Order: sequence, then structure tokens, then C-alpha cells
Amino acid sequence: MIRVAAVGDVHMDVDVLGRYRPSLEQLGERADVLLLAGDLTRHGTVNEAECVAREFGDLPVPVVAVLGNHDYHSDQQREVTKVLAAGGISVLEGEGITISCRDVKLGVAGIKGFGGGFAGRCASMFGEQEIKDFVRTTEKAATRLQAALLSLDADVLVALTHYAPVPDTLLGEPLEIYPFLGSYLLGQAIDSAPTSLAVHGHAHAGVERGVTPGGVRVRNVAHPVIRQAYSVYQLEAAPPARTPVSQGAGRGIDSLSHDV
Amino acid sequence: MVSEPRVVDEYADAEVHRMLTEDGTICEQGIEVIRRDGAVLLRGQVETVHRRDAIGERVAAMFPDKTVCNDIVVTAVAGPSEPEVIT
Repeated sequence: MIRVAAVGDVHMDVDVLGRYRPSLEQLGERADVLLLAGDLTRHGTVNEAECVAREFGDLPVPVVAVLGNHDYHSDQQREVTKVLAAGGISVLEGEGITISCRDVKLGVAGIKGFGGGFAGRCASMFGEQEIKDFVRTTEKAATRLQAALLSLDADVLVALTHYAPVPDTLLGEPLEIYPFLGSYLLGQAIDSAPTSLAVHGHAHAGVERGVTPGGVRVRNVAHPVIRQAYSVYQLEAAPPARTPVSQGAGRGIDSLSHDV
Repeated sequence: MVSEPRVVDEYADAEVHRMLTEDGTICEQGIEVIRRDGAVLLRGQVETVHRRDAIGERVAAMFPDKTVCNDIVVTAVAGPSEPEVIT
């Protein structure tokens, strides 16, 4: 058994410093790892990243993060990543990490992800170059997430993204903006591995609980959704039994592996 | 005869939503703006009281002839509820 704490969309700046800290002080008693699901800053500046490192650094458990769209706003995502890493926070962008805790090896594969929409109502690789670039960005992210998940040798596998892999957790958001909130390609990548849990943020008006077509539990941990400093999910070492999802129909992830 | 320029509500709605996202002092994408005859209602969640009040002030400046009802709340940061067991 392993306990995974998670929160996203904390949008740190100097005015938020210290808000989370009282609840984080007891983190070691409640969880074995903390996942941060992107949008850690307001504008993606180095100064805001330093606030994230102060608030979520030096904790009694490992902290693993992905960046979100806000963290890219100032085109300083590399500097932001360095500041977080210097603060002891592991930032994933298409990589995986394993964490051993009480005889259980947890694998976390993380990437920011991107939009595109969901089955039947998604963008396609067609038309103007700008649309193709949009879709290609998501395809590459999904391919990298799949590769990271499959590369991990772990007892429990968790996928960490900022953008949503399923529409279930967007319930409450306007339908018109679903294509900007996530993509089914991320869900397909998650279903291609024996994933136990997928965690994302980004959808402030959504709901916490969803599931991929392949049966992987999805949790939207955007702070406005969970309305607490973090949520905790307890996972067993054996992944839950579920129905394998066919990768052969349409434009499957397998066909994109050359883009890695 | 010179006609007065038309004030189109839909364009004003788009303008206020873009302002809330693109104004560097606000940068919020999850705020709901509901316009009534004489009032503008704001709903959503932010991280601090300062951010809530800043949104109210900026929206009030955009609609000086309307009352702004600021129902934005500051998201709680209490400790977690019981862990959810994923089976």
C-alpha cells in the first residue's frame, strides 16, 4: 500500500506564501509522496517559482511535479524547472521516476500534456498548419507519456499531467472549452500501461473523479476542485484489474512512437 | 442623423473574460461573470483575498454604471479529508 497526496493549480506568488504550509507540516503522517499537477505559478516567472520551492520544498516526503500552462506564460519554463529542482522538487516533462516506500516501488510518469478534445469532438491533423501544429503537440506529449509509463519498473504506476486525459473530470466546465482542457490521446497513453491512477489539474470548474475507457481511475486535483491543501489516494501494490483497450483503431498511440 | 454606437453585450462579455486572463495583475481563467440589468455578479475561486478584491475593482472599472456583486471565494487550504482507497 502507498499513499499518494496530490494538488494542482496552486498559482503561487508572494501573496500565497505560507498558506499551505500548516497543512503540509503533517504531510509525512498522511502520505508517502506529494504530486503537484501543474499551474504552480501565476505567470511562470522565476520569482514565483521561488515561492513554489519555499512552500513545497523541504517536506518529509518526495515531491514530484509537472508544469502547467501558467508556468509557461513568461517563456521561462526552463528557469522555473531549475528553481524547483534546486528546491528538491522533481519536475517531469515526458520522464518517469521511481520512489521506494515501505517495500513498494511507486512509478510516476509525468508530462504537462496539451489540449485537442475528446473522442468524436476532437481536433484532427487536417487543414491549416496552425491546426496541425496544435494536434501534433498533443500527439507528441501523449507519445512521450506512454513511453515514460512503459519504461518504469514499478509495483504501482501513476500518471501525472496538467491537462485532462478524460472528459469525466471536466463536468461543470463549459463544453465549448473542452478541447482546451485536455485530450483523449493522454487517456489512450495512460491505458496503454498498467496504470493504477491518473492525476491532473487545469479544470477549476470540473469534478474530482473520473475513469479512462480502460478503467484507470482519474482524479482532478485542481485546488478549486478539491478545496483542501491536498487530497490523499491510497493505492495497493497490484494494479486494479481492467479491460485492455485496443490500440489498433484509428490513429493510435502506437503509430506515433517514431515521434518521440 | 448620426446614430449612437451600439453597445453589444456579447462583445463586452468577451472583453471582460479576456481582461481577467490577460491582465498581468489578474491572470485568472476560472472566473464566471454574470451580467444582470443593473449588476455584474462574479463567481469563482482564487488563492487570496487580495486577488478577489483586485478582480472586483477591475470589473467595476469596466462597468462603472453597474453594481458589482463579488461572490468570489478564497479556496480553503485545510488539511485533507480521509484518504480515498483506490481498489
